[in-house]
Amino acid sequence: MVTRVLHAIWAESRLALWAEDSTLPLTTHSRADVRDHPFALPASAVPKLAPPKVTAYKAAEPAVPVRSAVLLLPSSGRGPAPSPELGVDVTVRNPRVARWRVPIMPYAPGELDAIPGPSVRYFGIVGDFARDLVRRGRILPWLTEDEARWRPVLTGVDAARFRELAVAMPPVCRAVQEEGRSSEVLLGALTELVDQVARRAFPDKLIGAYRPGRKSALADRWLLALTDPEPRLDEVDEAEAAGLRTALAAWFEAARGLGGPVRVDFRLVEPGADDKWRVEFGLRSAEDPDVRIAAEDVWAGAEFAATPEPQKTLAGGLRRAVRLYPDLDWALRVPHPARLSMDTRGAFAFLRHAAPLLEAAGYGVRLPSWAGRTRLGLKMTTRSRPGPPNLGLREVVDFRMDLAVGDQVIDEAELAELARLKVPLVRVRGEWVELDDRQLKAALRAVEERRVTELTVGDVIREVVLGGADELPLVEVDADGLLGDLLSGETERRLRPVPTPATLDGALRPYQERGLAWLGFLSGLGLGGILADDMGLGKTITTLALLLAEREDAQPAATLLVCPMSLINNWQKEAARFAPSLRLYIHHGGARRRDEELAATIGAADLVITTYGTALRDLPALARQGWERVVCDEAQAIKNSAARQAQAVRQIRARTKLALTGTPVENHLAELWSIMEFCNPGLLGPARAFRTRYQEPIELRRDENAMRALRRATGPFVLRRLKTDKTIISDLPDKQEMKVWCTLTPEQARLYQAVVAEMMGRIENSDGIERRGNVLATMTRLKQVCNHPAHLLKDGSRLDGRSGKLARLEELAEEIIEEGDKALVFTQYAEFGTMLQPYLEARLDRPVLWLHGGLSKRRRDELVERFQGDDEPMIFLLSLKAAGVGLNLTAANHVIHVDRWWNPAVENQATDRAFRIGQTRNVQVRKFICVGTLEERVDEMIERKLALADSVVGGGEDWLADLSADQLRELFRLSPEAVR
Amino acid sequence: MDPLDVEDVPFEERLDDFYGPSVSLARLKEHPSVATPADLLLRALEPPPIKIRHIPLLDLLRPAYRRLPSGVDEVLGDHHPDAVRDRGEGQGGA
Repeated sequence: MVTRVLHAIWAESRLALWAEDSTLPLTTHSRADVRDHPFALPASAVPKLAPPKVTAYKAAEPAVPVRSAVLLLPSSGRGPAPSPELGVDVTVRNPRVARWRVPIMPYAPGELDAIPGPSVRYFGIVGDFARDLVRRGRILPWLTEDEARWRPVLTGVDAARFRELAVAMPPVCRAVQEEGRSSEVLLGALTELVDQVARRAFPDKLIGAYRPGRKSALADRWLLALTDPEPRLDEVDEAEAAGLRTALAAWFEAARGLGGPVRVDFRLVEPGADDKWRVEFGLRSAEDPDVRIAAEDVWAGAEFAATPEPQKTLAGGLRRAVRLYPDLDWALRVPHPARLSMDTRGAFAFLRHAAPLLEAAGYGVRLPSWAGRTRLGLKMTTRSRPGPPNLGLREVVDFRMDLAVGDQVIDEAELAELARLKVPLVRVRGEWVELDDRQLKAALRAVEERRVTELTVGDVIREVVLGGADELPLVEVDADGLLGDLLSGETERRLRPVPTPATLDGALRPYQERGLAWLGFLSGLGLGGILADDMGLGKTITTLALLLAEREDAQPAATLLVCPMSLINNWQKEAARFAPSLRLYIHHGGARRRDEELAATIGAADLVITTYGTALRDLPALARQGWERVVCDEAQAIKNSAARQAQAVRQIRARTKLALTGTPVENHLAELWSIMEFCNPGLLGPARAFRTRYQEPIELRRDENAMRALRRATGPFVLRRLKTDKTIISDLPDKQEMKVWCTLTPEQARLYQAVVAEMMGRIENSDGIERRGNVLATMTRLKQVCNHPAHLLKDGSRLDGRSGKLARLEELAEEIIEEGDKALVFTQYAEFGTMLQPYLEARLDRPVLWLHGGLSKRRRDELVERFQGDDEPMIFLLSLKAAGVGLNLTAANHVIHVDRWWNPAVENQATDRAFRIGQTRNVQVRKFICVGTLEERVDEMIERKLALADSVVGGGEDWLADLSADQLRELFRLSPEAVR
Repeated sequence: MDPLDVEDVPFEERLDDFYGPSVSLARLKEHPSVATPADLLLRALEPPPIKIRHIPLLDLLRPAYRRLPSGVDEVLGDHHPDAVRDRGEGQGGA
């Protein structure tokens, strides 16, 4: 296994790649001004690459010969500094820039088995921008010397986006031959990517079946080449080309001019006494919309700072705007137009059609504050009837649906009057309301369809989730009783907290008791829910308490809990600790029960735990059982509704369902639909309708009405408490310490056993200092195996998917970042940190800082300053030895000890980097332990103190060397539960 | 001044993070797209005096521009969240 890291550069006026190879020597003896890069992937390896597939037109080119480029790279005297992604534990002190020659290859990142470095991922984002520009038609065709190409038009927000990308560009991208300018490199790369995308996105031919010949007019052949794989034109007549270029250049310049510093401005003004609406013209600054001058003043000769010729700017802008707003032509028939008067229909047409177009094209548009806000909607009122409460979904309530305009409710007669007027802008009780024909028809239909006076609770919930229609959304719900509790979205606060079950071995915090009440309430109604509390708030213990509470006076069927494999041990340990009375069965691994034996085991169990993979494999057997409840932990695992494991868990029937996730589901709407479909099948309607009704308006337009409607529809079924909530903070301890139980992968287990077998032989055949050295070496190697096979092997092999600890660290880091937090991750091994840093950074796409003993004080200070000062969520990896004391890192509210020194004092000192004066939040501390390995046993020994004095334990690991061979064998033993 | 120009940090000041972006890639990705008609740019501009077989260039381009959003999705694949590949279990290699 070889580690190669790909880097993207701009060379010879096109995107290209080069790669580092960790198996090659890192230094060279050459003293030449320009030296061959010693560990760049050699030219001999490059031709093995498949031909590039980036574009159709490139594939048509002859095979690209291997070329080279001279790069300016940070270097020591003997070699370039390796990129962090290469995972080589080399620190170059005081690097300087030197020139290195590297073989380069065409830009086709997927074609080489290599880790994409940040520069490659950066150009991936540039590629997304290129695609977005093409999708929005922000491109124009042009003619280079002899090629038909597409190029981006970058104005307004696109120019700002361009500058944002240019500033962020990794220096290596522009390091060919000299210090390149990032804006030039980016413009070149973006133009290349835009051309590639456009060439493929347009139809094959822009003009029917016409195929110009070699002697046809240049413009004809140019048009064909714009969508042809081959952009080059033969036999270009220079005079003809100059004419075409001039016209295209003028077109392009006009497009760029749309994004100038001054914008022509249109302001819609409500009618006065004359009942006439007006669109008033003016100029305004693109930088500051409040800097505006009215057209009258412009024509009167007033100056405007942002343009030397305001009259010319205004006249030209108005003339161009006619193309988007044809009615404007009426106003331009006078010499100095200042406004356009219109009737209500004209105003409505401006609001709905012209204004969005003008704004999108870069004109200034100012509308009355009520514009664009859907003011017409449905208001639902329900009242519970006298009688025994809590009959569940079948309970009948009084029901009434009204039409609401803003805060007012209007009756049927008023609606009929509005329909009769047939004007799309009406004044209802003093407020202007946009009311088009579609909405009017929907309003009349809604009145017609909802004349019923009673509905069941279940039907009311469905009405709420349905949220009215596109034209007429449900904007208000007024319900009382049980239904009011449910629909309030604050059920948890309205319900009486359920006290901690007597059988729970521990105490629930007040907010956990409220969560338990909420779970019990939904469960009692047969409804599913999503418990989406922030990480660390105790979703596990609350779920276990629910199982215990419902067994206090009944004996329900078993609950099936499905979780990622990395969490099985955590559930097992937590259940044993907090709910020892629960009968637990782990359905996983080769020895799991089948057929009748499985049915009998489940019949005798309270909680059955399995993984998503096993649930998929054993679906028929699991689906046959009668479950009280199915729980999906880390429910983002079923976020893709079409994925087989998501479909599998949905097929397992149960009286009720529960999803647990720490991910803020409201930020991931497709995920929310999929998880809700598991919890309450059908409740959010079909995926397509959900996308149209909620997902697209929210994700594309940040539509507040849709957001409100979605919150109302899902609020009853989602409980999410943040650790920053005031009521939660007061319930939480300042520092929460948790153990994170990890498993080994089969590869780790094999290595672990091989190390034990080899080292126990050495230990038994040695004594004195040598024996002591062997014991400590064994400890180190086993801890390295527990971290990652590559940590022990030091072979630069890939990290992905080979370590239970790393998998858990990734999951936690993702959750921490998703919550917008920062974490300190301590390791005692510098080489492990060096491996983790680039890996985690690539996985998270967030900063992962790495502080170790090899850094200069200046660099350490820079890292600390960035971590403390930058508000971006990030991870700070720290060497326990280099950073255990002295640093102030209170920006972190999570601390993870990924491996252990088994010295509580040292670990606490490290934890105190975050948990100290200046910390304003609760700090969560997690200690990773591989179950069934020496890590668990040493942890137990320390916990129980096993007749060892604190001072002995406090000394680190040395005391372990005094254990007998039998004690060591027991300590190192690998238990079956270590591997899942 | 060119509205696309930015001031570059000299290499000498970026030697410690030469291979990385100055802004995290996740933050750089956070960029909502603006929904606009794909032929808006063509509509907003005076057409160029270019004809192909006597047909104004603009008349040929406008219908093609309108189809660009679906063209981009078809050719390069729709990145709808539902199309995201399943992540699999927590420990891929186990």
